Amino acid sequence: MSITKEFTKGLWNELPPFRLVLGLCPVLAVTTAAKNGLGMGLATTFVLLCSNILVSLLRNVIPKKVRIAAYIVVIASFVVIVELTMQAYFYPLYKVLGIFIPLIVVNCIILGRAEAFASKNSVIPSMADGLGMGIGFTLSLTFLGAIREITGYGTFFGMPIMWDSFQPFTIMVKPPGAFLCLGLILGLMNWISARQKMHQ
Amino acid sequence: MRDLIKMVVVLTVICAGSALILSYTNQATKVQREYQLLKYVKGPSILAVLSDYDNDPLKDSIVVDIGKDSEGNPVQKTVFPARKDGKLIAVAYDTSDDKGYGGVIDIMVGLDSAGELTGIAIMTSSESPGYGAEASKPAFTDQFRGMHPNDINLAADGGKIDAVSGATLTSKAVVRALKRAVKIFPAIKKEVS
Repeated sequence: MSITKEFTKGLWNELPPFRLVLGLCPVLAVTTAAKNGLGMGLATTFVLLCSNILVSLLRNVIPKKVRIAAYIVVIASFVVIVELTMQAYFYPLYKVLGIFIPLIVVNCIILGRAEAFASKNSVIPSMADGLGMGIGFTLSLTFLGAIREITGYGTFFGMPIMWDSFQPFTIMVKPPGAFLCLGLILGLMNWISARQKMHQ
Repeated sequence: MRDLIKMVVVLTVICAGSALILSYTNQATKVQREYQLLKYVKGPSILAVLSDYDNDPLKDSIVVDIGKDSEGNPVQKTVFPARKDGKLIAVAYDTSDDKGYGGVIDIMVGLDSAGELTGIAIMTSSESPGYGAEASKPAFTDQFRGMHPNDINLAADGGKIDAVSGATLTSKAVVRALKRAVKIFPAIKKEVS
């Protein structure tokens, strides 16, 4: 498999939240605005990239029986680094994301990539895999956040973009809106895939 | 046996490495994190009670000794000075009273160099919503702007403050906290300027 393929699979074929349907907890919880989705996505991407690199480097050193414990320590360390950095330089975003930053530790995408990919491949493909998955996750969260923000607040990244008489659908920025949006996106993705298959 | 030792060693090394990196990150971001906390939590209150300054009161904050408690330990307070052209024009610091209607009330108070109030802001209070919460609103807090310390008393007790109707206990707690703040002002002024 080529590096490009490792990178691009995270962008469509194995797009984390919408195709693998993994890591849904932050996907549903923090996507009330595009900015929050982007922040959460970038934090996760950083952790995913770093943990993939380190796990791949240590793959021949870590004994099989304690691998999960070792991965969790590695992942948790990067999560704490992200948390401290956000607290120091992006305090408002840190406040909004709240508990979901520490919870990146248990995001199944990250442990999943460490276990399924980085522990079996060398550093460069693992980097490509982590970066691709991370960017896919970030784009998905930003996309979902943007839809919910535009329909729920009438803004995009905080800027008003809808016409004056637009009445925001408050339900879209509440939990039910997250489920509605996610369901519709999953349906749309499946429909597109089905069509692609038919054309083949 | 060899496997067991390897597992223990590898896990220990990974944990130690993690601890090292984290303690470094913690140190490296400490000052900036404390500043952010100040800016977003206390900051709005501090900036609300001070005006017409050209420095950053949050960055210039100083810790001063304001006497000793009953056991002889020094009592310290963080003071936020407002300066213009290098000259001290006012200071802000927090004060509190623990006998409000719902417990502790924390207040940020600003005093100019003559000792008159430049403003107050209620930071945290667990007063009941409705009456008690009215004390955080400008209708109540704006009364204190430019007030001479001697006038800090409820109108009913011979002062110039109109209590929030329905929240006498809260109003009294605010007055007590402010009196406490005024009392330590001479010591603070001496240390800051």
